[in-house]
Amino acid sequence: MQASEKTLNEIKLRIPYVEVKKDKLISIVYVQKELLINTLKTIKEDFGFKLFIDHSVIDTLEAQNRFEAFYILYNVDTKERIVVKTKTEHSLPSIERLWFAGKWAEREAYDMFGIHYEGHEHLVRAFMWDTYSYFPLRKDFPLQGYENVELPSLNETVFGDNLTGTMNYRRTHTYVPTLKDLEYTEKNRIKKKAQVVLNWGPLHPGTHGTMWFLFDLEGERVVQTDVILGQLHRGVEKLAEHEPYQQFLVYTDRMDYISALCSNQAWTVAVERLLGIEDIVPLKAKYIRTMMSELQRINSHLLWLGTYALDLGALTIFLYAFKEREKIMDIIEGITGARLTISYTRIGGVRMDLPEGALEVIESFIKFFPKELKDWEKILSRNRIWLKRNKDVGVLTKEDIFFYGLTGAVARGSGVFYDIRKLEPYDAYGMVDFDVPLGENGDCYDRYLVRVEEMRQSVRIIEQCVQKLKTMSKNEPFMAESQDPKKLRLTLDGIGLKVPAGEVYSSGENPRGELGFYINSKGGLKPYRVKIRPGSFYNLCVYPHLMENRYVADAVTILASLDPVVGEIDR
Amino acid sequence: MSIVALGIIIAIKVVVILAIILGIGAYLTLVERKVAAHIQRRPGPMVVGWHGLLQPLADGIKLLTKEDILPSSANFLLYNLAIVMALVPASLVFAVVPFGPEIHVFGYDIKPILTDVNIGIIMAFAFGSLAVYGVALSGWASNSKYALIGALRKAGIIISYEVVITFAALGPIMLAKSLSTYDIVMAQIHQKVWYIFLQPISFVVFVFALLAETGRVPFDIQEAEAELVTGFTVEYGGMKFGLFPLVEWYVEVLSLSSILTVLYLGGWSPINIPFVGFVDPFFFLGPWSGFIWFIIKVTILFLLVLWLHWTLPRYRIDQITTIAWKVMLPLALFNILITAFIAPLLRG
Amino acid sequence: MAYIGLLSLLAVMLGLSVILISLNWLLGPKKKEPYKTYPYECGVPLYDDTAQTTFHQGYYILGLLLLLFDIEVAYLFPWAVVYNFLGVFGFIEVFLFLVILTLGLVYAWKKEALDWQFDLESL
Repeated sequence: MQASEKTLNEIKLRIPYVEVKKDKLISIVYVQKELLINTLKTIKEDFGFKLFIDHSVIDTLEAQNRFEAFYILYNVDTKERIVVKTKTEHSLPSIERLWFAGKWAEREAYDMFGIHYEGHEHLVRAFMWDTYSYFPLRKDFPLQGYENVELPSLNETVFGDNLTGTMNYRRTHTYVPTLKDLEYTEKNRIKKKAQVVLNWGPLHPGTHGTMWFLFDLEGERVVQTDVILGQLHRGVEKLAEHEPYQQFLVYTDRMDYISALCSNQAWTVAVERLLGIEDIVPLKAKYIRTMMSELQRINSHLLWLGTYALDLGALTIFLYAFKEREKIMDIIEGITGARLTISYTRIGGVRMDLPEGALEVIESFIKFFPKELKDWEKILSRNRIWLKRNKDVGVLTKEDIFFYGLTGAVARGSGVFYDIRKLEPYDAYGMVDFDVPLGENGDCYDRYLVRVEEMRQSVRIIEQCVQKLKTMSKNEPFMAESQDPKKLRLTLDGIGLKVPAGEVYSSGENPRGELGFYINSKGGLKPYRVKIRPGSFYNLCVYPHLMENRYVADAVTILASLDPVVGEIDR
Repeated sequence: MSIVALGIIIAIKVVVILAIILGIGAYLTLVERKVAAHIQRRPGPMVVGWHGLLQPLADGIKLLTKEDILPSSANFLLYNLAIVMALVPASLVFAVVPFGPEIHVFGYDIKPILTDVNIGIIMAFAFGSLAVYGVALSGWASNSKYALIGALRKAGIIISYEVVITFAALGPIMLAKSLSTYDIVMAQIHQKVWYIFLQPISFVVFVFALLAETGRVPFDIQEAEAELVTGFTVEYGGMKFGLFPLVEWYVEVLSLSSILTVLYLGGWSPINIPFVGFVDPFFFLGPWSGFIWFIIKVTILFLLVLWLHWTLPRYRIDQITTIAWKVMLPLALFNILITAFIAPLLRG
Repeated sequence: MAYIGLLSLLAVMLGLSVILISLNWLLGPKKKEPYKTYPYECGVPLYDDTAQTTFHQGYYILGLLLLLFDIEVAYLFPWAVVYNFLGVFGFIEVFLFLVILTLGLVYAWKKEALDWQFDLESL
């Protein structure tokens, strides 16, 4: 929920120099740059907005105070969300003392907009290499980038320049890092304190993608850690500014590629909220989306469970999990026609109705699946080796959750009740019955238990959705109809969908934490700025802290228990 | 016995051991893959030959035709010496393994053991612990940090489990009153009891030490692929890469399983009813049934190792050494004390 | 005489390992490419040029303990063989020996020498 009128008024009373604004979608506190830190501190400590959600910058292209920065905060107790905004020319004070997660957000904003943060401990780029000289998300940076390097295609290398037609690509590409650039970057990120610096990743089986970790090792003890991101950086936020709302859907598939349906749903709901058509989306579509998202959640957690066990040496669980995962993949393929990058939802509904027999297949799957899950738990949950590797490893307190801006199963593993499905129900989540498992100690073992229990809860949700969908007739609509097609065009292809000016922050509960979309629209076919709040990115930011004085062997345990996906971190 | 006959006998024994190392060792890769596959509910290799029977051959050819690469800044001599140091000591353990009872062929009495000496067990342990040199050298010589960490981890395991394995073996030795592998088996046959019934603690400790020394799950931290890629073998390619798992996972497991069989499972003796006698369903084979029994026992032990390997997660390095010193070693010491009381009660 | 078999196996195995090592050089392709022999560290430039440096290990004291215990077990082997002939005298003597050995282990345990040593050298 957005912060209520009452809270805003109290803030206004307490801090007289701020301005507050509230509409249906968003509650904003405007403050001057010089007073930003004090305001944030008061809002955090006195008003209980402890959980850091997101921070970034909008390039307004105005002559004065070109950049508008926003900070999104959440109060877990009163379930309120607030946005703090400020304007700046080129520099901002750093909030790293208030929220560590802000440090990473600031690195990203520095990387993308060139904002200088005063008081930031180690201001380096987040995704690009350190010798890169442009700021890609500024509006004056062209979409296709600056051409710099000659990189002939393989055909051209083999056949020379004689290729014609479609075989002959443009040979100049945007700037790519050389080995020297990378070496400079890696030496800039971490200053060696101990004996050797080990490159752990990007091409490594234990890093779950192309993440590049640097471990400063004293024996097997990790003294300091840093992460070099950006191996999968595609500039999704830049692309979003140049795509119609519906077309951007396919990019959300490619962010968290393991839970594409959940990302689809989060984006669609965000746009629907911005349009104000959340209520006219047919019930059937809502139930289908919810059911599919939960299937995807089981699918994603199975991948996590498999790789987690694999990292700890139990290869067999990996194959068991993948076998069940394959069944879900087949179900999803049967319904949507795609397995990985699905794009099933549409603004106003879903792409097509469920095919005949789909509900029966799902029903038989969820009947069998809990038994299978029980078997795996027999192998793992009470296993002494498993306990030894997981108990008291990577402990996160409740305060850590707020300080590092952690969400999803990681937050719930530490006992913080933070589940968007319950706090801010979207689609059919308000209409189904399910529990949110919470951990006690906040160690890797608790996070493991939470995720396993979440799979059971997903089965419960799917069961209810299937029952509900069985009662609906084949002829019920799965796509919303617009009352006034001239003002609002709702079609399957989404062409010509005009969105009124406004801004919204809307999020969905992804398997890897809160996936939020801050959409700023100036009206028209395309958004002006889209900031994606990736769960994995902020969940990963606690990793260097957790790795302090741990063994190399714990690196896999902790990383797998945070469960990041590079596609979502890098975007 | 003439010199020529002696030479021929030794040559036959050497050839048999070579066949075990190369032939059976290589084919155990297929067994492992098949067993693992069926544990994981999949068929395993099915393409090369009937049910993948020619798969080890294909693997061998593939490994042999890979390019020979020496990493820059690696030490050529140590890099290659590591392989020799891994392969040779591990296979020498077979020299003291008695594969069966004494047999009488062509007028000669032949013991199916290459080197029947009165310190057989000590030699087995000595060769076994030399294996660490192969790993340590490969880690240092390849000049890669992953290899270095893996090699040092392995050294840590060997340091801990060398002590445990020798203390555990003291029990059967006290009961048999001999260090010769052949005599230990004969003692079990005369006393009509497998030592596993008298030494259950030491047997369990020995099995754990076997897993640790051979780098099997849950102790496979030296190559833990999720952390160290493949640890000490990361810079090796082709047949050089193929030899390390062959030695560690197959030759060493086989040799230590043989020693385990000799110490606790009565070597080549048939099924034992403690203190009563032996039951031999293969009696019709005469003296040759001993070989069958030996093979069966080693196979069962190997399958046990595989079963554990494909079910359990792995420990962390400090947990492994801690278990060795805080659990296994006190247990082994305690076992010696118990054995001291039991041993005088046994006749023979 | 008994060791002839062992020596011949040693010779055969040495020869075999040399053959196996060189087979790749004989049968495999030889194609030079830049960075082919670059040390593997996940496909990125090395931070440290060499891995052959000092590398702290947590089991240094365990190594010392290994020396002690291995020497002691060497004393125990002959005793184990002739144990039955020594009678009560042999039992008590070795019992005392083992008690002293165990005390050493307990001492090391209490001093936390059996855990990994990571804080000995502070940075």
